[in-house]
Amino acid sequence: MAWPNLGLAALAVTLVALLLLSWMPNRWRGAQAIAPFGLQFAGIVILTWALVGTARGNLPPPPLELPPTPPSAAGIVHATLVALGKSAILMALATGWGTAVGLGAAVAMVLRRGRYRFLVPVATVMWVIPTFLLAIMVQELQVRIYGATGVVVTGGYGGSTALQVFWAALVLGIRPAAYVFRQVSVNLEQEVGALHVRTALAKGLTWRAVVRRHIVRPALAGILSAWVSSFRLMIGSLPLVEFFFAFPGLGQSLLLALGLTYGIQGYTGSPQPDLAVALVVAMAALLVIVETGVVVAQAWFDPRLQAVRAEAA
Amino acid sequence: MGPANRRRWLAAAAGSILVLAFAALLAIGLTEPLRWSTTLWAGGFRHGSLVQPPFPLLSRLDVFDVDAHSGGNHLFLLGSDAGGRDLLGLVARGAVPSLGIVALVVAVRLVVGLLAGLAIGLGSRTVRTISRGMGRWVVGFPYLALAVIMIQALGGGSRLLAFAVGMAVVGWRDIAEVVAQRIEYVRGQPFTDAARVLGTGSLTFFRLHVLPFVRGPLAVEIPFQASAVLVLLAELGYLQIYLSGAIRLFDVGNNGAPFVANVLVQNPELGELLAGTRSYILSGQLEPAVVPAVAIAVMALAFELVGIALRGRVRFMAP
Repeated sequence: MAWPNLGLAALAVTLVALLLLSWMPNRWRGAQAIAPFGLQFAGIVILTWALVGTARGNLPPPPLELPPTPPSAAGIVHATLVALGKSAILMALATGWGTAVGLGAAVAMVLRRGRYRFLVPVATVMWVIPTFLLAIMVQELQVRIYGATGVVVTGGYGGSTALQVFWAALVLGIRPAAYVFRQVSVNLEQEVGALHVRTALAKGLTWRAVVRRHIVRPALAGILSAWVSSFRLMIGSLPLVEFFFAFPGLGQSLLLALGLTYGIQGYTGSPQPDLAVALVVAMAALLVIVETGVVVAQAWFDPRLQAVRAEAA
Repeated sequence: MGPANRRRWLAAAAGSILVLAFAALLAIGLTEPLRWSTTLWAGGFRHGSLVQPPFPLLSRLDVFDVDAHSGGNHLFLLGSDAGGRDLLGLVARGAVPSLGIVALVVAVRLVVGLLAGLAIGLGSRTVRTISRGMGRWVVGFPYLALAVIMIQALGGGSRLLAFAVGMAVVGWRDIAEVVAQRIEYVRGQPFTDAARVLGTGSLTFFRLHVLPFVRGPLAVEIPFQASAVLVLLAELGYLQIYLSGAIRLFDVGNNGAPFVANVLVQNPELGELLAGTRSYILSGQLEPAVVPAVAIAVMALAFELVGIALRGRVRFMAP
């Protein structure tokens, strides 16, 4: 597949769009904020193609039978879209529960004026524990549930059943939840010390109302920034979690397409550079879309950011 | 003592306790004879019953090798791997090269991050845009996939170099941003204008006015980076990407065909001990997978706590 052409096309489209929008002052600031993502996407496509192409020559021969004929472009697109769909469901669940727990815990800590401060070391420990150790603990939990109740809760292995998605999402969302909690609690504590909060309290507003209107609301832009960083982390851990649960999503497909192997008991990856590039491009595209959405949302939640960005430009 | 100071001291104390406890465990493991962590033991006898590896925690066995020669009696404090090798010895001997790799990768990240941060903070607008753009390319990649691809791309030459570069590529940006922020802060200070007016040379200005502001945040970043590199090393080891060679143990399937039942890495570092995790889990043998994973988690937590303690101190001393 002509990956360099796709990268160069993305680059060209971004530059042409910038050139056209430079004639429209009302759209120019927005274009300047969003253009870096187009350049980011183009750079990732070209960089991945270059690296995967270089890596292809260094891979050892697969230990088992040679793979069948490499898939066609349509086959690669189909495989990528199927994997993307499965991973999207997994990531949506993981980011949903992770954000809800992290954000909820941080807001609860502020609401209770620091009474839940014990959550800070808990979040630190959860942040530091490697993802695969969390996955091992989850598997141990499954075994204990089966031992105690006789109910099989694993959801199978190598499939995309609801239970499998549940457990994989649980593991995938833990570190992002810890990250969101840590960053959001720092943001909220900074807002708590602001003068307008003291003024609001002096005016007689309840603490709950102050937290809702004068602490959380102004911190929303920072909260979104923390969320997008946690999403980036989650995408980074996606290959490992999917590999662990043999979940047939973007991450596992990518590692197998890079020639990684389970090494044992039969299941082997075979190097498929075009598929590997397609899968990385899909992940990068997903990240670019999410980041672009967050930039737009941040400007909407905090109009002061528009002025800051205009000044920086 | 205020609550922030108290937290800082608690983090420092907890980090120090973890480091000392781990060091004590390492010392015990390193004093064990080498043969308990290098020789493959086919099985052992406990109270007259035959036990096959992996041996469980706190098991004292009379072991024998693959030629049925007796190896003597040994207490497997943390159990063994599938080849009967003492996990305490393996973890202790693996920790030393692991920390070496961590130190190398953190050093590379520091150098690259410092140079990129200087380019962003001191450079022209074009240099800053290009540096930030390169950072965005890196951050848009799933970090684990990027590390895997980089190691494979560079794996044709020195494997250690491939690891060092591959793992450094995914983490230099945080350091670059920290350095750039401090430099931009210094550039906005009145003493910068005064130094320029007085004709202070660039290198002298950097040494006298920039370095003191950069040293503290960099010192804080080092333990956090060490923690992140250690976890990344473990994740790569789990994905069967490691430095050393490996011994493959075969079994026979139901159809009579042999298959690879387990992988034993030779002279493994900590991350490589996780290469056989999947097979241990499938066999329901958790100790050989959990022990090295917990060792890595404890070390990473110790680094993280030291970083938290240092961060509080740097904030305390910040102008």
